[in-house]
Amino acid sequence: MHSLRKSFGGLTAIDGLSLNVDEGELRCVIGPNGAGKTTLFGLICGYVQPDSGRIVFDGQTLSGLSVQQISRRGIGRKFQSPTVFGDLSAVENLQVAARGGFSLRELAFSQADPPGEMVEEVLETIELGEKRNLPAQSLSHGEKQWLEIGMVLASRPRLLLLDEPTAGMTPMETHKTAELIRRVTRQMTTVVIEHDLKFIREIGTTVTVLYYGAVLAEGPIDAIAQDQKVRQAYLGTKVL
Amino acid sequence: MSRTSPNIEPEVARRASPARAGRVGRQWRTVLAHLLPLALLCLFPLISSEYQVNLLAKFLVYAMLALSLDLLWGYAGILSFAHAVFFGLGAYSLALVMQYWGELPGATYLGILLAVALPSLLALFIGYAMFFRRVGGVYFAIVTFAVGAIFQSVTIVWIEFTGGLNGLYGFPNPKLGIPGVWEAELVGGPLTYYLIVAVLFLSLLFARQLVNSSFGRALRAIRTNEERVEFLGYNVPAIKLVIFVISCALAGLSGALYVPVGFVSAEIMGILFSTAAIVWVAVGGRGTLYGAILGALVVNYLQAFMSDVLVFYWFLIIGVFFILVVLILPDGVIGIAQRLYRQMRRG
Repeated sequence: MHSLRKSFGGLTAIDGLSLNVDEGELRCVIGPNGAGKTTLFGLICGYVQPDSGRIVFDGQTLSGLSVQQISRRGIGRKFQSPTVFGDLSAVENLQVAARGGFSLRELAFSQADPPGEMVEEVLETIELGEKRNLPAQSLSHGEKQWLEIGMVLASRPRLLLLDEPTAGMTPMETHKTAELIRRVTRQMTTVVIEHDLKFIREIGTTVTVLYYGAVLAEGPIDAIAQDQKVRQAYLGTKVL
Repeated sequence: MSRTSPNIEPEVARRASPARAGRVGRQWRTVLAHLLPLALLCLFPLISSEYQVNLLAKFLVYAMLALSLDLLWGYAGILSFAHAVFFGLGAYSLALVMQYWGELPGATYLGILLAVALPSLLALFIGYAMFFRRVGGVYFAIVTFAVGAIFQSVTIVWIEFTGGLNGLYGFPNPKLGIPGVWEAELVGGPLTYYLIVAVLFLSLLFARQLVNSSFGRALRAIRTNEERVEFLGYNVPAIKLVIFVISCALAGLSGALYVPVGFVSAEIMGILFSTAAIVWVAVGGRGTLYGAILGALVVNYLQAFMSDVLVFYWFLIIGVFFILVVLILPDGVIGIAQRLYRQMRRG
């Protein structure tokens, strides 16, 4: 993406941000609260339109496309707080996600049962096989987060956007999530927003630091942790 | 042959697996659960008076209206206060065709065709204008309220065409069969009753098929979180438009079935009637299909038995009943039945 700019009223959330993620790469985006991380995802998904600048995915610009069109190009997003469909069972959530790109005709003429091989695979990956038929609202917070990750996986994206996959998780769950993400993102371009630096060390990858809507620093986590500017930006909010 | 044989064994094993046997058992139970009530409905005219048959026929038409509303409200979460408009449009379509061209051969078929086509077109128009402009939730409900009010007023005022509150009467009865060869008049009685039972049953099967498809699952997801569904790549406005048109077409068809058993007047276009349909679905339990049918029957029989005594208080009673259902039994009659069933199984 190139020189992106987005303001809400008087607030400039994204200020001339440029960021390049290679195919197959796993990238972490960190930054203090209000740095524009979630807005960045909103821009990529087409949920908000940039005031200027453009986003290029796979050689094509995404400007002006709707949320639905961008999703169909293969960009899947996991939301910050779990937004699973509470009334639907875990496996149904995955099935809904898996049928995302279907046309109306395909939807009407495909039976809901049984779940396909791919859904079963995802269910196994996120380790919810035993709770497959429980309504999603009865799952624990961590399980909902995994289900949410599973939903993005089931939609077979080419670019995976994960917004705080470990938010509200216990250290044990965080560890498990890190493993899960490392495992599933081997062949998938992935951008992860995270606050938890332990988690970032665990998945060990390139980190981009956002600060007031622009890139402050970029590099491996250890170099970032030593960076003076980053330390200043985070001073008092996080100990690196 | 020898190359394929290793694959056959697991196939056979899977067929004989208990899980599969369980599914087959469930299927049989499902078939029985449908055939038994159907058989009872078919026997009903043999044991009851013509008056009772006509009354039940009318309530079954209402049940079909409730079924169509449940598809829209129960599954997709779209609340419409204009559902009676589509029902009324269907009823008026057939009644007016009979009034003006009733003696022409095949007029009934034209009437039924219009009874489905006109509501569908109106739904297409309203739905397109609303859903693609992201008018949803309460705002959509308010717009449908206005649509209901407009149609009701026009129907009341345009007396020479609609008969106003006095309604339409004296038009030739609709006829089914082959014009010129053999035709049967639909004037209430067993024939009309059986036709209504058959159409309701087919509508139920169609609705079941629809909600059990991936489309139906997408509907339930939309009910929970529309925006999230969009992020998954679904064309949400198009899906909502499709279910709205299907629901209104079914409402129109039920309106046509109403002509031989009910009284076609401005009342069936009214907001009050729309609200009544919402109450039936809520009382029965939304999002279950069967609940809608059951709710329509329960509420209407209650009304039929009670309103002789309590004409004046009827709307008060039904209003309180509705509030109680919403507060205490959000899953309706079906919800109670399911809870009892689960408790019984636990012992």
